[in-house]
Amino acid sequence: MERWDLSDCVRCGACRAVCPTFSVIRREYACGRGKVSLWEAHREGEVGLSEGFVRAVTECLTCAACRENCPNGVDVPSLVLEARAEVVKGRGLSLSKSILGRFLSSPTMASIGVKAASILKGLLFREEGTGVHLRLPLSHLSERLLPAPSGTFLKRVRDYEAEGSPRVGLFTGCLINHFLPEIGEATVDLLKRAGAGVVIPRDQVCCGMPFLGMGERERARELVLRNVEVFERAGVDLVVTPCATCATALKIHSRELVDTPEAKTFASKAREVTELLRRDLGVKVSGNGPGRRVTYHDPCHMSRYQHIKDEPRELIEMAGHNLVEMSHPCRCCGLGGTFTIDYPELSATIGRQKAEDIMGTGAEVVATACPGCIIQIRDSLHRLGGKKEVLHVVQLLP
Amino acid sequence: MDETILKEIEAIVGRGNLSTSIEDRICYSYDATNQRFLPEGVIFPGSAEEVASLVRLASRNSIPIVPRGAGSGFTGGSLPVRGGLVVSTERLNRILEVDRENLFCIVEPGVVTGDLQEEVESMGLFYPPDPSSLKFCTIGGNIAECAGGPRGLKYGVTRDYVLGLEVVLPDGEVIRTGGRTLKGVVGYDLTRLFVGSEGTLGFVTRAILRLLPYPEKVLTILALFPDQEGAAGAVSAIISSGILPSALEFIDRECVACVSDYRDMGISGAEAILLIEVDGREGVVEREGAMIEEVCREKGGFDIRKASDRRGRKRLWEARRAISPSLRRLNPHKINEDVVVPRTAIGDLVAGVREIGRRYGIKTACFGHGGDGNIHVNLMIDRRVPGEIERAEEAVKEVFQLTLRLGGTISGEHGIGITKAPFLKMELGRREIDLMRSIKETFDPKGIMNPGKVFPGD
Repeated sequence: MERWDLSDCVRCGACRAVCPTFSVIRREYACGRGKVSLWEAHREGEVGLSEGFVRAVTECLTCAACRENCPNGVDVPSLVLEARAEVVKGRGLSLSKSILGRFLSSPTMASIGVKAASILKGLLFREEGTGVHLRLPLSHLSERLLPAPSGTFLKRVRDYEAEGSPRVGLFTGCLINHFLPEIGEATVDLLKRAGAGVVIPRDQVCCGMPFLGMGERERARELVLRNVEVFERAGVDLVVTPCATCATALKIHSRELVDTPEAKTFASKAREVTELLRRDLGVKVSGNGPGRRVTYHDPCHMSRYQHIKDEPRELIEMAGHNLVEMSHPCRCCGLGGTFTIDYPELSATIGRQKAEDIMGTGAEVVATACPGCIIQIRDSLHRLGGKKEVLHVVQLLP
Repeated sequence: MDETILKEIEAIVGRGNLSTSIEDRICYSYDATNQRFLPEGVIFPGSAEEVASLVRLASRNSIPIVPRGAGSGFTGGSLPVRGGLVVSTERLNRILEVDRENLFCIVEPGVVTGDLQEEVESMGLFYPPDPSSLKFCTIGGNIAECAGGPRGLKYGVTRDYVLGLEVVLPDGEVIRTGGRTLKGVVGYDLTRLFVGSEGTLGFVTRAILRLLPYPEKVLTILALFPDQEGAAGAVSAIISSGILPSALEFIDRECVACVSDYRDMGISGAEAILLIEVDGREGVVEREGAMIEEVCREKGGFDIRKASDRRGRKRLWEARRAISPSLRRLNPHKINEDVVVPRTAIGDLVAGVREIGRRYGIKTACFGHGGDGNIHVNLMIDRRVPGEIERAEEAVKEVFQLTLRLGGTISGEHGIGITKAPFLKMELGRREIDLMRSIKETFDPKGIMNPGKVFPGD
């Protein structure tokens, strides 16, 4: 666990200024100090695992804007994750989340599911713009623009290996593996051209973040243990992932969840892709041909959890693109992992704000570094009627 | 609380805008004093009419009403110390009108001060009051406490920008004070009476605020000083030179040490720092900047940095902004007093505070709005250490005595609320307090409007 001390919260209210959910809900329970107060009351037995308490801790994107803006750095996101674990312990998981969990924690189940979905694509989905819409009236999911299931990247590339130095293990991440394999392909390509060796262990599993987010700490722990073992066996110098969220899980949460020297080593080897390209490999790209007008969205898991803001921008500009900043590039896109399943309307409202900020730039391409953000931003833009390409930074490099 | 009363409240504000859940009561029980008093319910009215109906109902049933904005006050103004109903302005947050020609705007009380500033700035207009909580505090709270900020020196405080108010009186009747004009002397100035009254006389539901044209240029200057006397002397010398800076912030050596320990900002060699800002027309600003630089040098100032672009200015403000988070290096808990002295007495105040701290064995740090003498005196304590709170309380009392001896006042911009109520008599005479009490009595004979505030021991 990260160290956080509740007495550090002095109830100043600074969290109210930056919380994306509070800005929509406008009730104290939504902001950081409200959650701290409720958690304290829960600890003292004043509030049980009531509806109100559960809502306060689930209705949070864990975007960490409050922590960043807090004069005392109160770690509300960690509190929220801890509280969710307590809720699961006391009340169990909801049905939809246990089904989702089953799929995520088992590579076989997941790939069967995705395979089935891609075979039945025409039947299940209607193609639209940059994604698909579910034809079935399945709660809010049918309103959402979803990425088309693509078949499994890890299965396709098998146990890929390419010689080079340093020897880098690719951690694909579930969303890239099942829905956005082109990001995985672009990453492998860049690594190879930078002279790095690439290994893609096929038996890697989910990074654990969805489980941590749902409050299933034990499952998250099991997955971390598995990945630590898999990548140790692969004998890699570094582990890279093009998913900002996975990178946060590998670097920060794996070490919190598993207290072994191996997990520490694994965490210290983990890199986010733009960070690896710029800092470790010192890659310099240069554009060939006319650049595009690109705006960059900072994923919360990049800017606030890993403090990576410059590297993706440097890469975009080096590639000859014209980078135009949106207002509030660090404002959360509103996905928040399972948040978007629990609170689809709230998620869409926050997403709309992001889409409007993007439209304000006049950029043709939105770049970001997280497949989750890509999916959410595509959906938000689609709902607003904005036609823009939403890509991972690695897809914009020559 | 009586079921039928709750039903009536719900009929007024609609379902979902009244909560009696323990979770919401907890979430509306505190403010930045970090004290807690549970209300019996929390209400989120959506219009002035709803507020009026609520107050009428509360008056009929003698239920305390506690107006609340963002709950970011430092003296407990929004705490329901006598229970009752917290009435939040969370939903009353519309900017109703911005009049460019007549330079005013009309807003609801729940508008966040910083949001209003952004909105009017985009139209080339300026709402100057800038409490450090401006990104989350509300206009309603600012009016209740008469909030100030660094710009107070040149631009004044909230009271200087409130032209008129719509107020629900404690019996539920709605009155309007002042108006849309800068001038107005018809009868007593009720507008000013409400500003700073801490929500004890009525519930503000609408405010007409004065605006100014946005200054063309802002120049920020950071000056390091080898001794405190030099910095304090420079404050007076700048003002005497005929320049009125829009900010003149003072940072003492304890703060410099904390900030430097927190992050290297190249200020560690200073015993005191001034952060100065001038604004106005291009050309004039530069000239004033050069004059200030000269004055600072005469007083021993060195390593003087200037910036007029947004980024550069932000960098210069970093040290000032880092003070609050970095003070925790001294001790985990902070007692923050916003005393004011005549600006020529800043040096004596800071030295005196240091001496008091030494005597009581309490770490102190002073910084703040040097230009108008409003220095934030911070006593950094550890509540877990036995006897520390008691010693700190004694030390605070001495700080107030010192302040008054120097011709100052014990609160510049935070108000009295509950935390300073015990000290009211130190500054005000019996007759003054009696007069104020009779004003409260006239407005609120039943004592339902934010009871338990301002006056000691009732």
